[in-house]
Amino acid sequence: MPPGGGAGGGEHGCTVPGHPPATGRLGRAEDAPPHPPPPPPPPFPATDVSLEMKKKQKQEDEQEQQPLGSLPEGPLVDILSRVPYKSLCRFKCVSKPWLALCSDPKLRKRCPQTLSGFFFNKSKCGLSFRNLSGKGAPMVDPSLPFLGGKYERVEVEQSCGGLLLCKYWESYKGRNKKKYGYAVCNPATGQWKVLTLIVLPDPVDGVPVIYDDIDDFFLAFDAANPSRFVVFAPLSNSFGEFAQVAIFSSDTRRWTSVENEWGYKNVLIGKPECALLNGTMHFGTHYGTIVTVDMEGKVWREFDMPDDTPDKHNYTSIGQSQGCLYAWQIDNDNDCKLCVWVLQDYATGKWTLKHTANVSEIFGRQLDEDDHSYTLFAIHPDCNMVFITDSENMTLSYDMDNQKVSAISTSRTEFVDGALYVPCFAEWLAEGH
Amino acid sequence: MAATTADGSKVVGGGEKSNVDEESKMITLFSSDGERFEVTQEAAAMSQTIHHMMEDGCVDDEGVHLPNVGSSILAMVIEYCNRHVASPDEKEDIRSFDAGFVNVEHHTLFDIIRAANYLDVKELMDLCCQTVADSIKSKSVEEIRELFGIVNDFTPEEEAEIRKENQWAFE
Repeated sequence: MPPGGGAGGGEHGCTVPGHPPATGRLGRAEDAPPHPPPPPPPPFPATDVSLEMKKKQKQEDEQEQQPLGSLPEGPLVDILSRVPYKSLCRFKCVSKPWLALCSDPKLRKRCPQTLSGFFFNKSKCGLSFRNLSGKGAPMVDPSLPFLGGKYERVEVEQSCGGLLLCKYWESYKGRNKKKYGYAVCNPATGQWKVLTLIVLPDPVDGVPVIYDDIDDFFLAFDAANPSRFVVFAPLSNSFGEFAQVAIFSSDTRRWTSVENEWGYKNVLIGKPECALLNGTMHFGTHYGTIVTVDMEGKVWREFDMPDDTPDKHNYTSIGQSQGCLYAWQIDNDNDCKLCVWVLQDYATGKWTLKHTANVSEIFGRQLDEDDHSYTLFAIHPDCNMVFITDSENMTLSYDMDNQKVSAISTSRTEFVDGALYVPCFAEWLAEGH
Repeated sequence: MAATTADGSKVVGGGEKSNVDEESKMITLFSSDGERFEVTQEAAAMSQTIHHMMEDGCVDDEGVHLPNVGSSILAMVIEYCNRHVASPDEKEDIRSFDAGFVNVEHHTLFDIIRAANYLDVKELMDLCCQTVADSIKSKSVEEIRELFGIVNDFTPEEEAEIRKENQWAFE
């Protein structure tokens, strides 16, 4: 910044704007003459100065034209920050300067993300990843190389907003197989946070109690507010009843506990039957209700699942798509009928039946010969597409708008626990921040 | 709505020349090819560059020379600014104006982007960059090169390597 003061000088200068600088912000021409004090000011500006700058401009233009193309870097970065991440990765092949631009982590953080595939667990090797297209090398390395091989096995339990809730084993053989821990992971940024043991003061006498047999953790992470994540752990007894819910927050790095305000009898179905919507975590219960709590553990609500479910003996699953809560069920025992409901009016809690279909038909099978047990394990966060597996050898995507079917996997895979993945390149604030 | 005044200069966007009423005070802009444009101060202020100059009291009677903006593009940018300053609250109208405004050939759009960047007109930049982003997101690598006039400086092996690493993006 040129120093202020001087007649007519100062930060902006009284000059004709110069060449557009690389960052896209307008600079001021530093070689143009400063505005002299009145009276009388010279003609503004001198013609030969204008020509000088025109020449300089042309030179700069040509220089800029070569590496990045017909637009200067500033506007190009602006444009690229608005294209989806998938397109950005494709454009890396355009040229070497574009490779540098498209690989810039700052750009990656800004560009819109969408569903890129699924993490799931293979019995042989643990954590695996399948692209949404069902083809090609996985776009994210499920071996989580940033862990440096520290853990012998990692599995995914649940995903939320680009983070994974993982189960890990340091040693996966013999008696050590029983010893595992839980961690939250961002595969895109390499962040990995082990969830510490839950140690909380007993609500009655304040003596610290270790809760080491909790197996139901629920991860809540909002990519729109990526500075922290939260993990809920209902402190259940063997019947699944709980009076307290432990909450881990990545910014305090501690567990605290809050009282369960839903009522003692609400037994949760368990992971991954949960969905984050508008900063509120929704959980399915075994009693045909959905209970909700916000990420601070302060606001507790409850409302009913759809009541016109064909199979009254099985629970309804929930998920989030396009800003709304969805519920679905497949009646495997009878006619493999799929029903999908959407909660269009959140305030009234009224469900709308959005779509029905016959899953046997979707899989190209005859209903009366079909004894598969189908699971709809995910709904696309941005469109009316769902993902169904027969838990044996076929996983498909099904578009509810046009009934179009695509194969995701036709090999023996375990997609029942498939966790959908939308990359998030923002980092949650860790130690030291 | 351009009218020609007695001295041959174009008056774009109307408004009377008045030294008393600050708001409708006109400012003269010169395109790179020497054409003269009269604009209201309000419309001109949509360009942060010009706005800063006006604030610093640096714009005198002569006007502002814009050696980087040709007359046809400057006329379009002025049209945009006039429209947005005239009825900023009529969202539907503005939306359909904007849609029509960017419905031009890509090289014209690039020219507008260059001008908007130079003049620092944020709303126009946002509109045009989003338009370009939407139109290129599904394009192939070859189409991008053609569109931006880029020469491929990768060897075939280098390009194949990058393609392989990002295979998922090509499906």
